[in-house]
Amino acid sequence: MLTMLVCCAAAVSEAPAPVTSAVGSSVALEPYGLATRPWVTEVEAPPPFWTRFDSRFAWPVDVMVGVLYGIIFMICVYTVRHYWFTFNRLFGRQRNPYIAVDETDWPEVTVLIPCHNEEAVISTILDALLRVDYPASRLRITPVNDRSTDATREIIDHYAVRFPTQILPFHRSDGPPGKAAALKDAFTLVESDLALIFDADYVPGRDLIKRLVAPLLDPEVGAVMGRVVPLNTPRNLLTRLLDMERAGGYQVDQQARMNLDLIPQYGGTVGGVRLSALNSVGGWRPSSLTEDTDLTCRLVAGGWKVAYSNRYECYEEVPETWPVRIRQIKRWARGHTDAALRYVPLLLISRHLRWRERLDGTLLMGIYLMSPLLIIGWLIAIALFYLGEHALHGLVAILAVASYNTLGNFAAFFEIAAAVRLDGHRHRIRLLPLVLVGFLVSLFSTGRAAVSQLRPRKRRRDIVWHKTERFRENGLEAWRNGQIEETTNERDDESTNRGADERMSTSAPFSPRQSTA
Amino acid sequence: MLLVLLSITALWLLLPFFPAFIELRSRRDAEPLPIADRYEEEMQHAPAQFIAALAMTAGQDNATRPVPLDLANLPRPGDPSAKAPYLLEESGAEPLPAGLLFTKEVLAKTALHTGPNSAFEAIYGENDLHLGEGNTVALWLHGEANVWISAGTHLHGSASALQEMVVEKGCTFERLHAANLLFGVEPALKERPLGPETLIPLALENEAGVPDHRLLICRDLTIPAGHVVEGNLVITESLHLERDARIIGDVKAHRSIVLEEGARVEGHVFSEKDVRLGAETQVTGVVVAERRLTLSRGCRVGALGRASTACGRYVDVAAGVQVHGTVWALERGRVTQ
Repeated sequence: MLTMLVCCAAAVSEAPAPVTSAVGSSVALEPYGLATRPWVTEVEAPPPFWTRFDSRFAWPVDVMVGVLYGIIFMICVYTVRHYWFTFNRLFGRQRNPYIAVDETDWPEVTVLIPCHNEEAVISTILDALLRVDYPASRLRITPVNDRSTDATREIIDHYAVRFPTQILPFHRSDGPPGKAAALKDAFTLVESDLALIFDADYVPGRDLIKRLVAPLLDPEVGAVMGRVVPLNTPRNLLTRLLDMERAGGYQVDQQARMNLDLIPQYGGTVGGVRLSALNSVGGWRPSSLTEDTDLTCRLVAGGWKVAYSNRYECYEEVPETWPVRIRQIKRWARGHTDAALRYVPLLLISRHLRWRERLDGTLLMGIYLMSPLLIIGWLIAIALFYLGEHALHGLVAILAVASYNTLGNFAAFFEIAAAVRLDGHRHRIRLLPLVLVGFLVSLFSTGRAAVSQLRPRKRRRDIVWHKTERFRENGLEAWRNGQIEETTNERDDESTNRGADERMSTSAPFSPRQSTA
Repeated sequence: MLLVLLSITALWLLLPFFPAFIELRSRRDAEPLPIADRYEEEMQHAPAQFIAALAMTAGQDNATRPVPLDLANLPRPGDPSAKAPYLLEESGAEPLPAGLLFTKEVLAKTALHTGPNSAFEAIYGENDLHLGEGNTVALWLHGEANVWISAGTHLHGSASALQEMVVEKGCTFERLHAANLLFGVEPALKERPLGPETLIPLALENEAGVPDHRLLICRDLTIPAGHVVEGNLVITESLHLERDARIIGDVKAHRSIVLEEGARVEGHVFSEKDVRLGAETQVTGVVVAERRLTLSRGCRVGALGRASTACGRYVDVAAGVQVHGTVWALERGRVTQ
């Protein structure tokens, strides 16, 4: 499609002007010996077809040209933005103000794990959280079990019995479904001012809780966000592409926003919020599809900051099949667009934000709207070409090149390439051309999601748990094996606290399944 | 002809995809990005790794076991034995000779007193450590008891002590950590008693009337001498605490923060620019300056039993400063004359 567009653009830009004057052409072409050729002097280009019917048909063309101008402008803005962020990461001063907070009187913190049918993964994250180096007396772990129908509840309760002072589960059996609604209910039980949130498929490292709490010591920070690193990268082409996309998004985009004092986005997991900040901006909005974006907008509009650092890393599981990936990105696009329509005016008028923050917030909110715009731009460009609109050939060429830059060769690809190199990978970067596949899938998925967003509200589906499918095969099995092992251990030794480390070694999060690449 | 042209075009377009397909098939670089459980910058990371490595080689007769230190015949950097750490079991009361160069770690089983102008890669002291004047430590230094750093020493990497560390004038450093960290040979000043104070009441709520965690102030703020403010403050400009002023809560300023003599913050201090803690000031929490941090004579960060962190891109510390916990200079730290 891109190649076609580029070719079309090139064809339009290089097409000869219609020869309307035989005499003029003869004069011009005579030195080259072409004037004697009858087809050069006698052919007359037909007028555009709409002029054959009625001159009033010309106005849609003007509208199309105007729309095209707008789309080209937006693409250029986003292209500049990509470059700005990438150059900042490569050459600018990096900002990690909280990374040096090594020791302090660590405050109480509650870790919430929203889960719905997470039997495959829940034990791994609980084990990991029991191993962290945060003072145990200041750490509470609350798995938020929202109507799971599998063994999630059983597993959580087992941990709660073994670690009664640290794990305080919250089982939810009624109320509106959805992560935001579950969190809203769970937050009523949180006693500390700071709460961290991890999705159930994440595996936090030993020092991650301290790293995430350190920025929240800053009274201006309302939320903190860490970096998400795919764990199942080697699985197949999709996971490898998602690994690179995530690297671009976090290693470059998010960190550059932090460096430039713009608006890093709170991502809903591997992050945390300050309850007093949350309450001051109205708490969770249960009807939100992407509660993280929703919260980011309201926090920054309310004068709070979101802190990010690449150093706060945590493993996650990325989708391994295209249908799952498409569902995920469509949900993100719908939630993001919903937040954009709701909060962009709020961002633009917020007196707490500087102009560059307002601009960055607006561009951040509008990112998923670019997909349908880009598709519209392509269609208009092609339509104008076949309508014989010659006045546009220069602009069509710009659209083609800018589109190619945004989608392909330069801006976004450059960003991903920079991220991969900053991560220290040597060979992974060779997959860069294949990222185009992921982009095209995302483009059409988000385009479709944006169109569905424009439907009347009553026709949209009710809010449900949009849970991304888990691909960890042996999570439950490993937990059960660990439980058996642990029972044996307890029989041998009355110590009840030593199971966690042992289980970590037995419950490998991913089985050595063959790659399907 | 057309076929040839099409083939060349297709080949040309597919050219960038060939390395991609090769990498996809061979999966040479497909492992997840490694995430460290502990960062190298962490204070105890390098010493802990060193001890763990020694424990692994214990009982083995290989080249990486520590070699007893023979001061009369130190191995040169090119010698095979130079690959192993030096083991110092008895150093005696006298300091080591001046001008020594140690290209591997030194493990001191007893108290160690180094001579002037020596250079070390790393030192692990199981007892007290005393570095002579003008020493250089390239990577790290750790003492299980007390550490004394004499004037003019350059500490690259981290330096830590479980009990007390004294860093004399003219030293440069990156990361220092001790339960009680003293700068200069002057004894730390006693805690300044609180004088009479006037409370400034604050309305901690946002524009919607909802109780807020902090007060947002969009201008320069000066807390007058002898006044006290209770609550968290976020200032979009500069903050100035006059003599003996006090804030009970955390503060953040987008520009500089200055605490004049005797001022006190019972909470954390964050600045996107500079922080200057004047003489005999005190901060009980973390102090983070994104640019320059200046600690003046007699100022105190943290409290005994309540360790804290003071960090900045550039850190200047005067003699008589006392820090409980960590001082971290991201680019350059020095003890001023």
